[in-house]
Amino acid sequence: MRHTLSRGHALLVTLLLGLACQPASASFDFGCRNEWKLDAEQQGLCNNWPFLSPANDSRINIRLLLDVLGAAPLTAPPGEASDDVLAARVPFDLSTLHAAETETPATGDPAAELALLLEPLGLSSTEFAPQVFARDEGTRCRSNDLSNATAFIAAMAQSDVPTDARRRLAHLRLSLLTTCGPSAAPLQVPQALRASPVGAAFADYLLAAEAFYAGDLQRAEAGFALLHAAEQPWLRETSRYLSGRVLLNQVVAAAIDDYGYLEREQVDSAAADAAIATLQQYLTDYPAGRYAASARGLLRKLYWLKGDRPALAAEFAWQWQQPAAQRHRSLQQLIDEFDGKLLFDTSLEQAQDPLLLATLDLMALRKPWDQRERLSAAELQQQQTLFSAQPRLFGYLQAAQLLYAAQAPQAALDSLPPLPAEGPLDTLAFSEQSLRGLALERLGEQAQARAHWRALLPLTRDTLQREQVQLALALNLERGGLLEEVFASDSPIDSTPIRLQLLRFIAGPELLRSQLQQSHGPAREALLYALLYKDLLRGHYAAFVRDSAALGQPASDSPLAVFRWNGDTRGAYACPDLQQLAARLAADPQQAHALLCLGDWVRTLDLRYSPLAQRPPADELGGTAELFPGTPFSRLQAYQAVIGNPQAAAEDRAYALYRAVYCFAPGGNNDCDTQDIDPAQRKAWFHQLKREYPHSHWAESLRYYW
Amino acid sequence: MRLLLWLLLTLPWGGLGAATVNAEDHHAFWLWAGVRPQPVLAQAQTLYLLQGQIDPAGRDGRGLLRAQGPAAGPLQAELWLVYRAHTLDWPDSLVPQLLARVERWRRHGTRVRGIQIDFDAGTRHLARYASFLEALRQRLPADCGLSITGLLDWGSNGDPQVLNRLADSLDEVVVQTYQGRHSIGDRQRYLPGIARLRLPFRIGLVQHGDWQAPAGLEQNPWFRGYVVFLLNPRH
Repeated sequence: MRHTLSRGHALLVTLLLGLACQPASASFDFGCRNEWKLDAEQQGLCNNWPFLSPANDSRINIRLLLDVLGAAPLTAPPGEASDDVLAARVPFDLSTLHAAETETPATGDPAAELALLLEPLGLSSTEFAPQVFARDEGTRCRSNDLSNATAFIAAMAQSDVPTDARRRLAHLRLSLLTTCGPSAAPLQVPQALRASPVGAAFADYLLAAEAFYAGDLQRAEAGFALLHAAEQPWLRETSRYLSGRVLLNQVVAAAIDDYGYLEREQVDSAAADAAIATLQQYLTDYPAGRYAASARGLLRKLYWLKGDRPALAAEFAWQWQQPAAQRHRSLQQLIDEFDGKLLFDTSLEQAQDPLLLATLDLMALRKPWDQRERLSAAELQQQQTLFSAQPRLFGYLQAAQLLYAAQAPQAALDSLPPLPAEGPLDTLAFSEQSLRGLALERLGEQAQARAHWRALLPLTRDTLQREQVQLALALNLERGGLLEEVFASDSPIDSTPIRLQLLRFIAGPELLRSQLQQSHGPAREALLYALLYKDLLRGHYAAFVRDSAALGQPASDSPLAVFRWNGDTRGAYACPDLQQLAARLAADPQQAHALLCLGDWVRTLDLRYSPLAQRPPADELGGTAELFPGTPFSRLQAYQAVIGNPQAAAEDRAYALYRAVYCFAPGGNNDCDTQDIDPAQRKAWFHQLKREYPHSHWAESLRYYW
Repeated sequence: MRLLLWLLLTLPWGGLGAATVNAEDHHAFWLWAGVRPQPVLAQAQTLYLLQGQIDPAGRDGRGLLRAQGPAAGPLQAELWLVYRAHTLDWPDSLVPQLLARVERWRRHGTRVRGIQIDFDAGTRHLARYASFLEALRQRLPADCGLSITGLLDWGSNGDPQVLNRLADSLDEVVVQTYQGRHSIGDRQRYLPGIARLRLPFRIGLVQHGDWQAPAGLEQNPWFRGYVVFLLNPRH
């Protein structure tokens, strides 16, 4: 049976930001994976670089461009923000940058101010708990807060409302603090409170405000209109501003669907214009009014609702110029709003504003997921006049076009300025030099590129720039077979995550051991894990026994605990502890029982999914050939070796057959290694087990093959 | 093509092929950010509505809740208010924000079953997640349920003791069988582990994904049905 969900028309304002939530990033949350590289042409989920890269999240490029355009200087995060030594610091995710720029909340304590006002009236605010809202939670009720209740009571204190009426009106205002949406008990204003004209005006305001927060917008509209000419200045100003908000709420309420989602195509343009006119009139009457910043924000919302992009872009251009103290939203919120409400609504042809245009240009230089063409030199050239005040930024975009879209690194290199003699480099200069290094790398000028990164490093301005150049240099050295230079005593690469990435995935045993000697804390743990893991799974059993001396007694939740395995196979098979096992393998690497136990170590502890089991992609740090000798252990190959070993004990061969078949349970996928084994072979193992060892525990336990 | 689809849809559960997930066959849906309502919502009995995201973007890198999704209003379906969490380090001010939104929905007469947390807890960190959920449960009033999304491999690889601790804190877990727009290819590897769960669970499917119920699912006393993650139509 079907039923229709109904929804009243008097709805709250939907979210300004939430609706098209974070369009810049993907809508689904896989875990973030660091891309350990610099040369990226497609946007990753959480990979951003501190230069103007097409691969950056658009919100990062907006932030960098605000720095370039002088609107908001960038604050880079401190160096040791994270204690995760295995995670890259560059590229970084969106929150890294914003976390460093958390703006201090507005000063002033409305609760204390309110208490002062209430004291002479014999009232206390503690019986009324104001509502709480999440960041970006879009509802008009947000303004129904302590500070606005305080403003109402303060305005009465400056008027000649009789004390008794003032007390009762103040109490009623406080009781409204919990009103948001349909109300069980509508506000009652006793006639006595209307004895004085100004008292009556404050009472009228309360009734209109209650209608507004309850969602009766028509009543609110009529109620606030009554006060537009009020003698009391606070009532006059506040009612004029609120009339604009009522109109805006009506526009939104009429465009909401059954589930509370805004349908922008349903927006009544004429109604939006009326709201705009009311708010603009308010700003004309009160250019520095107490609600001026809010009114500007509401205008942006109305322009967005109407789809009036030029007006919205102009509002943002004005907004960026305002000092931080006069913004009513944080820089981060404004960037999110700009990104979600303007950038993603604007095509390159429509954009005029350099910030918007440069952000869109960088996006248009990404490697497309589909057949789309990237930004051409001719298209970019047409924008030149729009960048007439930012010639260097325009030059950078042209160089980026040459590198990313035209794939012409030599031309890009020729167009970029040389390395400056002195630092620190601002965002644009750092971007130019980052691009220069990338062009050299793409040209295959490895030595020149290396010299460039080395020279750039001392010119960096902040920790993000520094980390990026270290990554570039480390990538270059790794690809040049110069790993020892990364770990030389005079190496400029001191980033722990970068060094660990190379040691864990590339380094040979000697380098690993010598670096292990010099390390401590989480870095030492990661290196010891890598050394023991590879000793054991690359067949260096005697070395494993020796290197285990450094193990001590790791905590049970330490990754190192796997090397203190006591031989527990969850009852499957009798195994010695890992140290004894390694000693046996050192004596005879092909010993069937020991091989099977090594397989059970991998199996019971899920080491096939160890962080070291998956190699970094070839174009990322740690992605070149491993210098640690030996072939990685494969569980299935061990089983195959025992199956094919006629000297192996019956018990061991039966278990090997059982485990080999079980590698494909329950869905037919090989969970033991990457071999492609024909189902016929799996079937043959199954029957071999049943035929040769019919009375073994393993034959009796295995009922299927997959 | 049509015949093939018919064949796929009419194969018995547990049959040879997986069937395409058809939202019309279901009554519980997730409505995620950026996904627009579809006509099929008219048959919804339960809606999982994304209401916000908690990122480590607050003071000292602690959790900051950013609201998403529609504001409160009257709805006929029963609601779970879903919060995607990227950190479990929540300041004290956060839970009251969640509860205030529950209250705002209820004022419109909408039935709110509770709060669902969507947190990508790998099996290794499940114990920490269980502790977090125990603490969160303590802070929720009795009339506010607690649900989480779960990963397929918990049942297989998770410590049974930890899974039991989860059961004490939770009203249900919705096990996701997809990543992004697609069903997880090797989920057959994990599904037997689901049978080990000892708490009410639903299976989360993705619209137009494929699904083959493991044998015995419908008879499992803890199984409470499916939730379909709706997608925008592709152009």
